[in-house]
Amino acid sequence: MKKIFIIIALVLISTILTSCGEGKIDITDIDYEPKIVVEAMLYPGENVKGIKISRNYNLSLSSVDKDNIYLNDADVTIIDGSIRYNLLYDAATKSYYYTGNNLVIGYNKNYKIEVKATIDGKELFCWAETSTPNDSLVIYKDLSIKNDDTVIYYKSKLPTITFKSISNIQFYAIANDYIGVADSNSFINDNILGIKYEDIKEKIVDYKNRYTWLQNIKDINFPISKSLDWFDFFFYGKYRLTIYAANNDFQQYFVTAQNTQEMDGNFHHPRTNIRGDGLGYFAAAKKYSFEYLLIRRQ
Amino acid sequence: MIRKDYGTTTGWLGYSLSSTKNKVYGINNNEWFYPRYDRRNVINFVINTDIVKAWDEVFNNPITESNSKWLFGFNLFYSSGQYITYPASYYFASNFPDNEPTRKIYPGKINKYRLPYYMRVDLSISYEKKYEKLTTTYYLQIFNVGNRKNVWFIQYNYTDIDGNFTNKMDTFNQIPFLPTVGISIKF
Repeated sequence: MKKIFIIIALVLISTILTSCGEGKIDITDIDYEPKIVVEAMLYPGENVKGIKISRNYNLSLSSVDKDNIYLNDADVTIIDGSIRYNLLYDAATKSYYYTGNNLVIGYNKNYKIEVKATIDGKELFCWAETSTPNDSLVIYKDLSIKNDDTVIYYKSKLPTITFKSISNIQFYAIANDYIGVADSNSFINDNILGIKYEDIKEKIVDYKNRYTWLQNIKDINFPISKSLDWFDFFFYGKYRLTIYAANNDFQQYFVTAQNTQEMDGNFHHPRTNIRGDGLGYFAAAKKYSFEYLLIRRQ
Repeated sequence: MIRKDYGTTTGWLGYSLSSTKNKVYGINNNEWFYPRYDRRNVINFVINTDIVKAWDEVFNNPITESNSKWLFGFNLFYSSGQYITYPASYYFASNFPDNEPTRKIYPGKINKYRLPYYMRVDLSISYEKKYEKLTTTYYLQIFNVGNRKNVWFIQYNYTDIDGNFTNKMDTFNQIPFLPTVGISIKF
């Protein structure tokens, strides 16, 4: 009996000792696969332009030339029914466009994109399909901010946009982009969130380009108004407010790609309609823009 | 499971081996993956004993009944680490067609990696005394006696200094060494 007692005591003590220490995390075999990144938006009533093709990089790569992230030698084709339209690269805008006038995007139509590119010595191919809105976006100009308006920070009425929804579009994203020079001189030091300029310098783009959105807009026959908030402003100067009435192909990517890391640290893949060796979006939208000025209150 | 419910010392030892896989359209390139709740091996070991009675039994002392007793508790829990998805690559893309591009993370295969195993030993010692109409118990419990830093989740971040990225993985741990004292009264 004594021996059993001693054995049991030793087992318990050794168990307690092995419960010390810490779990170590070490990522040595990064699961990298090269992919084509597609950012393609079609606008009914307009030619095809502004299609950006880039690539992803291994997480262990510590530096990238940000001025040369777009691929200029990809093979990009838009397909309308059975007709194929090859796009050309424009070095000025770093994007692909169609040179002719015989491809004007129609309303309530389906289109396909195919992209071929060689990345890291590997030939990659991706494709996607999308459908365009079936109507124009109607803006109620008397109930919206106007071009060249002046807004006084934390004093004027907040910039608002009022519109009529499109029947086959449920997602409306509103981008409020600062288009002036973002530096400590234009920064709003007494901003509503109490953020200091030094704290945002590294990720300044996130504070220049603010956004909000409306989703699940269905069967609404009255005007819809959406105002910005004062915490959407961090700089004095010129802004561009743009509303995108975008289809589900853009919505699913937009909502899931902003931050792929969840609160518990786990990651999710952004939803994408790009098939094959690609990610990003091939979508369609109608958009409308205003430019206005934000000034300091006296 | 092995279980003992009677006598001076009671407890159980349980072990389970299990495996789960999911396949969801549109997720993980439509390939099978392990969900986060997959715990391959789980061991649970619990011992409760009356210290005085156990001592008397071991050393063949006469056992005397009393209205008070010292109780000792031991609890071991072990499980395989949960599955987790790590970042694998990054790319630059705009939030909107007319915006500047920002760095975005693209993860690797869903739940390809496992966090380190989870292990915790809890001890307790209590003194129970019976009165005519009530029973009081004074106890000291210590959770995670070994103070093992069991990883709860990871947080990925990076710094960007003039286009040079440095990756950073911070780990957040679960319960540390945690003693608690208390008293319970049954009436």
